[in-house]
Amino acid sequence: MKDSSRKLLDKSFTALASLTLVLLGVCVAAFLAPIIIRGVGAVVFKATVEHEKVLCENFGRVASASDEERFASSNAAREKLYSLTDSYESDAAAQKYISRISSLRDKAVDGSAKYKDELIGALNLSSALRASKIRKVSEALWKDYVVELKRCVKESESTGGAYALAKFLDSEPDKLSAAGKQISTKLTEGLKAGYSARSALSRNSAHFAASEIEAARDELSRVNAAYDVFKSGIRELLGPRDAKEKASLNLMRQKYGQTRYENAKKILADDIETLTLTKRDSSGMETSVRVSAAEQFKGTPVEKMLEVLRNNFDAMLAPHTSFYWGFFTDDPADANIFGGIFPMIVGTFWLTLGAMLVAAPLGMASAVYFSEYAREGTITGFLRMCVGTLAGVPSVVFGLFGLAFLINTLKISDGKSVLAGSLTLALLILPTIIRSCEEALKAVPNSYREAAGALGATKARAILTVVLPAAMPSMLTGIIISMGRAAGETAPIIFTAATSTGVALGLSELFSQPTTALPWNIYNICSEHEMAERVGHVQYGMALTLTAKVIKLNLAAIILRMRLQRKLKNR
Amino acid sequence: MILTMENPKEKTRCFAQEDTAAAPLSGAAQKAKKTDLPVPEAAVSARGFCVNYGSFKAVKNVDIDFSRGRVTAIIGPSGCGKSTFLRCINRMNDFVDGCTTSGLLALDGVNIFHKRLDVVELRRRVGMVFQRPNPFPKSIYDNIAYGVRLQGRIARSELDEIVELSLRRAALWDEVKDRLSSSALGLSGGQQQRLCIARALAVKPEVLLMDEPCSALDPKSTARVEELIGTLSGDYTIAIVTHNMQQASRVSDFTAFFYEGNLVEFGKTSDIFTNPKCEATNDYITGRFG
Repeated sequence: MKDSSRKLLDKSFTALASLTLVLLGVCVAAFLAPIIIRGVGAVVFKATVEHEKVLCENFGRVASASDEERFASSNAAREKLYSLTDSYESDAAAQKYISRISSLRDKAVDGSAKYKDELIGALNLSSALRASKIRKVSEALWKDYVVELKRCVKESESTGGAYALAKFLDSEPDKLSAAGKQISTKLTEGLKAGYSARSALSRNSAHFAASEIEAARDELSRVNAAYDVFKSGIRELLGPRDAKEKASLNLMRQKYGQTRYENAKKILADDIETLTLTKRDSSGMETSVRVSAAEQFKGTPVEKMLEVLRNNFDAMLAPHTSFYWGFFTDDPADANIFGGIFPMIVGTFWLTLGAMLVAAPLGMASAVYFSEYAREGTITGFLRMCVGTLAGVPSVVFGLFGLAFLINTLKISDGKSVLAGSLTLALLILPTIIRSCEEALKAVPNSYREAAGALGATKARAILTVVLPAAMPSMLTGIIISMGRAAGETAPIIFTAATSTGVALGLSELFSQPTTALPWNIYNICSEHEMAERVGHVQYGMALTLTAKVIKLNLAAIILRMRLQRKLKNR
Repeated sequence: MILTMENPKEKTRCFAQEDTAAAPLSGAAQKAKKTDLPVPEAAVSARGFCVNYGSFKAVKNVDIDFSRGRVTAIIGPSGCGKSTFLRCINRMNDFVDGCTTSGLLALDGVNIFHKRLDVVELRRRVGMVFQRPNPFPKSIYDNIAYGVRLQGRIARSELDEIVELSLRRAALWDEVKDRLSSSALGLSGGQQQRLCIARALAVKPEVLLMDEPCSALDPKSTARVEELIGTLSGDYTIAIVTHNMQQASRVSDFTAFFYEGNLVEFGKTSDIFTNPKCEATNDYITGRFG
């Protein structure tokens, strides 16, 4: 090969290697960066005043002076909005319509005398014609009333009062039927009318008005439905208005507004500025449509509320940067929407510890057997093959084995338990531990064994005093790395130990109770949670915690190895 | 092959029988002018001793006596069975799978391969130094104390004494006395080998086996180890395997020449090197083969 082409080849190999390294770095960064950035967001984030309320009322924190100040100022800011909604909803807003409608109703009853002849005459008709005749007359009788009703509805939509008017109209059909009865009594007074004639009169004389009321209520409920959606958006954002309302609610997520500013802004944009309304098309199919609140409420008092909300948004929520270290030490509340991930951390710790306590001694003992005692033969070969096969079994199969054998057959616990999970994890990492420990033992120079033997040490003594200490750094490295694997394994614990909610377990509960654990809960919260997007910070917080845990374990392995080696070599 | 033998057993056994009959002597008296004195009694003796690795005969029918308080060098080309033989003296061959022995190998008249023999006690009495320095990855102190601790619990002050004495005997004390607790792997190769000798001495052995102790050392360290062997002879029966003729002639009182598993010639070092009885010995020590 020519010198120039050899140089070119060398350079291209170097370039290839550097490129691979760079790509690797980019991949790691791309993988870790979002987890770190968003995971940190679980602890350090822009909190709203609701966050402190949750902490003080549910997690035993004491409100500081600045918290109290925040509560007061945000409540004051909210009052502005609430006074608007109050006045919008109050009966007073609709009072003028109510009185107008009521007076016209009375007027119609009074004016019925004018149509007496026609109505009484109608009573003599056959029953089939009677109803339609009375209705026709009532159309004229209730004309003013209906016109006024329509005008009031229209007016209330734009100037407020629709809410109270709708409430008022709820009782209007009853009043109309009473009016019908009144008319009937009034007109048939002194007449020898039969019961059926009288009831026909009472039923049909206000019929026209009653059907118009239905139309008016439909119209108003359409308007009010949009307002209700708007209001529920506000409650989602700010929480219930007072303690009485709060006490009537069951779920914790309903009792508080948004604790995170980013979520609050999202609620403002998605649930308040844009409304999701149900529309019924001509065929009766209900579809949800998204409409802009500004357009929907254009020219109504709600527009003012929207404006107040927008202008006082920050004042109402008092956003501030908060360090929520309780994320690691608090129990979760209401399906992880509030609180921290303490039970998951503890659960993962117990599972990993249990797996280690079983797998490490067993693995080391097996490795010592394989490396120091076993003679190469059929049985050893078979055992080695078993270990190798075990290492290749998918983790989900280990989970099923744990369920079928440990729980169902051996009945080590009634159902899932930390014990069963730990044993399953131990089984999972056992082959890896055996392998790494065996490699470590094989790396111990034979001369150590000879030297110990020549000084009179028995084989067991030599292994205990010389071989194992010399192999310990590498063995520990292997064991700790396996520990990282056990901590992050999901499939085996799904069947044997994991549960989606629960508190941190104590030592005595480990043998009978299932536990929450980071890997399983990460899956659970991402895919099974009904409000998965609202707990995004918890997902990433958990992922970061788990990643940090595994990285920490691996770092510990490296440091431990370096330390032990330095101690052994005295450098 | 230079050496041709129709019947190796007949032709190559050139034993100097008169050497084995000798009176016991104290170490101190020997050191003064050992070569002139009559040969003391045997500490280790072999009679018709054979070692097989499976079907391979590594050592064939060896008769030899290592005199008490003297240095015996075992020379011979690679693969001649000299190391195998040496390792049998403290039963290091137990560590080798498929190694079997026959014949008699005795320490002070007791069969080393007797079924009921306490191997731990045997190895205490017969120390060994290996080809490559192999200190344990422990502190210097713990290295020396290792063998002593194996024998049971011992008071710290007593142990301190033994460690110091052993290091002094191995001429290492002055170099390491200030860093007894630091790792033995931090020492130089020559120091490590002397540490291994000190480690072997700490259990107060009677016999010291050295399997090419200087082959991994530089000339200066080699000189120190050789010097050490000189001071140790008299108190210890030393058997040393070496490829270095000069070394054998410098340090040993007796020399045994092994070839293809047979003991070809055994006698006083001065005789072997100046007037070998067998042609093979002559060829080997003059460097014509091997």
